[in-house]
Amino acid sequence: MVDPLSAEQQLVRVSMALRGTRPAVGELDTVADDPGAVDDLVDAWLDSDAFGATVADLHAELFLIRDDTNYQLPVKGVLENAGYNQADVHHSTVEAPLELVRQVVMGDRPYTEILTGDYAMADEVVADVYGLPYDPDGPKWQQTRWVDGRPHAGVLSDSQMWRRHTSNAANFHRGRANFVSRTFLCEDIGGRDIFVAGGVDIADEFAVAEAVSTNPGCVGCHNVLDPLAAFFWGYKEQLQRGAINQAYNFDCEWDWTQGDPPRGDYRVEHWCYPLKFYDVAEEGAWEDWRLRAPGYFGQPAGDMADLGHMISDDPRFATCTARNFASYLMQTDRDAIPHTLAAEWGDVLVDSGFDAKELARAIVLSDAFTGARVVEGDAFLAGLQTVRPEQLDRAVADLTGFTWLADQDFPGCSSPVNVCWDTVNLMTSDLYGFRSMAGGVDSYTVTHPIHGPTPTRALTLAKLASEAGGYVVTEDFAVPAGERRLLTEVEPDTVDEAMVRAQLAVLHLRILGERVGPDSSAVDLSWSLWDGARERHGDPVPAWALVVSALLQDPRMVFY
Amino acid sequence: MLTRRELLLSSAGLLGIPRVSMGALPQGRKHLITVLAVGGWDVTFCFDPKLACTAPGGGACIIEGPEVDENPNDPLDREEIARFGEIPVVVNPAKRPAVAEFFDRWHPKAHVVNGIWTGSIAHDPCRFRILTGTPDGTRPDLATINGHTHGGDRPLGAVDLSGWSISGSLASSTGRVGVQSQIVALIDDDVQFRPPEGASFTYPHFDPSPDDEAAVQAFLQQRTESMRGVFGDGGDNDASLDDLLGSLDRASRFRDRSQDILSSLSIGKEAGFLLQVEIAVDLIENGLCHAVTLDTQLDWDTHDLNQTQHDKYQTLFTGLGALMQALEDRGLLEDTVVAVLSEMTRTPLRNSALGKDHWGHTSAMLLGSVRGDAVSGATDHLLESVPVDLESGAPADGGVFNKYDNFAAGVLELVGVDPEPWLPGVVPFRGAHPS
Repeated sequence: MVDPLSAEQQLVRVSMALRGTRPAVGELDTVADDPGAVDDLVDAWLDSDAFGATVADLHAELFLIRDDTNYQLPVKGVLENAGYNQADVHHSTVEAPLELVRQVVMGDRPYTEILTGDYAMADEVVADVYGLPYDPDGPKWQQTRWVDGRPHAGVLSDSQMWRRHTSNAANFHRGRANFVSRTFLCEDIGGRDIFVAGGVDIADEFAVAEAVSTNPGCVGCHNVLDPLAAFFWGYKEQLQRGAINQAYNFDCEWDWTQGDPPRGDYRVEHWCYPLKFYDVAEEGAWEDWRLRAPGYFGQPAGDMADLGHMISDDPRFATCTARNFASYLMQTDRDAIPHTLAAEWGDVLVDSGFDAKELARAIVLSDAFTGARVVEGDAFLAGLQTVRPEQLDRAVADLTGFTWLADQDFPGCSSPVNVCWDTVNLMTSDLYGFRSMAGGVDSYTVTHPIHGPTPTRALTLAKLASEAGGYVVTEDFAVPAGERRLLTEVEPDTVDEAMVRAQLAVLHLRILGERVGPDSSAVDLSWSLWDGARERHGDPVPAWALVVSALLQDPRMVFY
Repeated sequence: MLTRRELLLSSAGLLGIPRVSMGALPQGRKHLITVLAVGGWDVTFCFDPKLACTAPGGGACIIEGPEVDENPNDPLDREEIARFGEIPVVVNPAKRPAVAEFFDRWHPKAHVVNGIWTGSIAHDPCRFRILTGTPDGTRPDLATINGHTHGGDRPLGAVDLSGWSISGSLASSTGRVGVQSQIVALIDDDVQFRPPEGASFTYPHFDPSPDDEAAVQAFLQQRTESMRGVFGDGGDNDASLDDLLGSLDRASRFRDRSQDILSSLSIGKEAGFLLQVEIAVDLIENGLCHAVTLDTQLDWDTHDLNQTQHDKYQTLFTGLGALMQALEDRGLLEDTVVAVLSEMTRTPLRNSALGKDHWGHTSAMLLGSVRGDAVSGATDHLLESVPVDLESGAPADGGVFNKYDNFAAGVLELVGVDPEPWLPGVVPFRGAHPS
C-alpha cells in the first residue's frame, strides 16, 4: 500500500521533473482548490520551453555529449574569422543533436524522427564548422542538410555524436555500434564479459578481424555487433583538436611530394574548416577488412538511413525509450524499472504515435511517480527525488533571478590559441563549475549521475544559495513591493514579528511549495533563524539573505 | 565579524601548526590510495617483462615491447630486465630511470600482479571493472567502499582528486575537488569567482558568518527531521534523509578542516600528479578522509606512437616514489595499501600508426601493507592471462583466471573490508595478502 503525495506535493514533484522549476503560487492555489487540476497543468507544462530544456538535459545525459572538460574543436580559420570563442564552438556543436531531439519532441512530431529525420540541425557555428547551408536571416537553429553525401538519419548522422563516441583503429566502429544498441535498444552488447580462449594469431591484423567471425568466443557478440558497426564506415574514427591544429600548421594542404600525411587515411585537407568528417569513399571499407556487411540483427540493410528506420521499427525501441525517459524522470536505473511498467509506458508511446510528451505525461502522473511512501507490502516508487544541477540552476534563477555566472578565463586565453570561454554558468559547467560536483555528469570522466545528497553537493548548494539569497534581497529591496520576486510583504526596516512571519509563510510557499501558516511550527523555525541573524547583524536585510539562503538549501528544495 | 578563515586561524590555529597525526589504525583496517593510469598502460614496459620471450615449443615471441624504441646510437638507451629482490622489471636508464629507482628503494613493499583478465577491451567497461570489480558503472569503487567502511569518524570517507572515481550509492560519504580545483571556492571564503566582464557586482553577494552557517546547519537538521513525518518509510526515503544529514555534517567538518591542506590547489588549474600525492597524504594524515583516488593526469591511450609510454612511466614512478616516501615519513606506510591500476594493457604488436590498441588483460601494483617483494600471476607469449591459484597468486595448471572481480575482492580484503556484501560469491585473489 502506498501513501500518495498531496496534490501540492505532487505538483512540486511533477514541476521539478518536467520543468526544473518550482510551481508558481497561483498554480499551487489552483490545485489546492481542485486537485484534479494537476492534469491540466501538466499538459501546459509539457508545452513549455522549460520542458524543452529538460528534454535536452535528458538526452545530453543519455548521449553523454555535454563534455566541456575534454578536447574541444579549436577556434581556427573561418571560426576565428567569424569571431567565435571556445564556448561558442563547444555549445553549438554539442547542442546540435540535442536541439534536433528537442524540436522533434516540442513540435509534437513522432519521436522516431530523432533516428529517421532527413535533415541535420545547425546554428551558424555548426554550419561554419561543417560547411552546411544556413540562412543567416533565419532562426538560430535551422534544419539543413549534410553536403558530404552521408545518409540522413536524425541524430545518427550528427557529427558531434561520433566525435564524442570515437572509434579506435582496430575497433572498426564497434564502440559506436554498441553505443547505438545500448542507447536506443537497451541492449548493452559491450557490457558482457569477453574472453578469447587460446588466443588469436595477433601477428596478422586480418586474422584478428576474421577471428571475430570464426572464434566461438567471439561470434556470439560480433554476429550482432559487426553488422551494426558496418553502418559507420564513412565516418572518421575521431576528430581531435591536435589533428586540426596540425592541419592548419600545414596551411590545410598536404605537400604530396612528402609522401602520405602522418596518418595515411587522415587527409590534411579534411581537417581544416569546414571539416570533412564523412567520406563516401570509405563507406565500404568494412569489406577491405573482411568484416560483415551492414545488417540489423540478422536483417540485411544498406546505410545509416536504413539503420534509423530499423531501430525505430524495432519493438525494443519503444520500451527502451520508455525506460530512458522513466530512468531520467524518476532517477532510477533503467534496468530497475519493472518490466510491466516499461511495457505499459512503451505502449503509451506507440499508441500515441510516438508522442514523447504523452510518454512523459504517463510517467509523471503514474502512481509510481506520485507515491510518497510505501506503507505496506512492496511497490515500485520513484521516492524522494534529488534536485539535479541543471534543475537547481533553473529553479534558483526562476525564484531569485540569480544565475551563477563567472568569467574564469586566464589572461592571454585569446592568443596564440583561442581558448576563452568568457561567461560560464557554473551550475552547468564542469570545466570551471560544479555540474558533476553537484551530482550531474561531465559526460567523460563522470558518466553516471549521483541521485542523492553528497558533501560536495551540499557545499555547492550552500554557496549558490548564499549568492542567490544575497542577490535577490538586494534586488528586491531596490524596487517597489509589487515588482519584487520574493520579499513582497516587508521593507528593509520591517521588524514587526507578525509581518515578518507573514513574509516567511509566503517564502515557504513560493520556494518550497509548502503551505504553512504564520504561526506554524515551520515558520517558528524560520522566524528563529531570521531573528537570530537580525540580532547578530543588527540589520534585517542580511537576515533575509540568510533565510532565503537557508530555504534554498532546505530538504524540500534538495528533494522533491 | 570574523570570517570562517579568521575564526579557524584564531581558535584552531591550523595554519603553520604541525599537523596532527590520527595515530595507528586498528588491526586490519587500512587506508586505500588508488593511483590511476587512465587509458591503458603497456605492461611490457615495466611490470610484465617480455624481452626475448619465447613461444611454446621454443619459437620466438612476437610481442613488440619497449625494445623496439631503442636508439642504437645511445648506449644508455637499452631495455633490460632487472631483478629487484624477487621482482623482475623492465628498466631503461635513459628513458625511465625512475622505474629502477623506485623498485630499488621500495621493492620490499611492492607486489606486482600480472595477468589480470579485464573482461572487456573498451575503456569505460574496463574502468568500471577494475575500479569496482563489476561491469556496472553505478557501483561504488574500491576507494569509496574503503572510505565508507572505515572512514565513519572522518569528514569524508574517500576523496577523489582524479575525477575518475565512481562513488555510486555511497556518494554521501565522498568528496570531489573538481577538474580545475573548484573545491577551493567552496571551502575558502577568501577565494571568489570573477564576475562576468562588465558586471556591476563582485562576488560574494552575501557572505554568511560562521554563526550564520551554524544557525543554517541547525535549521536544516530540524527541517530534515520534520520531513520524515510525510516521507519516512523505513526504507529508501529515510536513507535519503539520513544521507542528507550525513552530507551536511561531513561537508561542514570537511570545510572547517581542509582549508590549509587544499590551499595548495589553485582554482582554474588542474592538480598535477605530484601535487595530488602531497594532498592525498595530507588528507589522510590529518584525518580528513580514509581513502583517496589519484590520477597521473596523463593519457595512456597510445593508439598513436606507443613510444610515449616511456615518459608516462617515468612520471608515474616519480610520483609513486614521492608517495611512498611521504607515507613512510608520516608513519602511514604500514596502515596503507596503494593500488596502482590501469584498466587494460595494450596489444602485443604495434599498429600502422606505431601505436598499440586495447588488450583485455592488465597488471596492477599493490604497495604498502602487502606481501612485498613478490609477483603474482602471469601472462603467456600472447600477453594473455594464465590461470592462477587465487590463494597464493602463483600461476597454476588447473587454476582459474584472476578476473577483475577476484582482484577487486582481494584488494578489499587487503584493506580490511569484507568483500562479500559488495562482490557476492566472488573468490578473492589473496596472492598479495601479507602472511
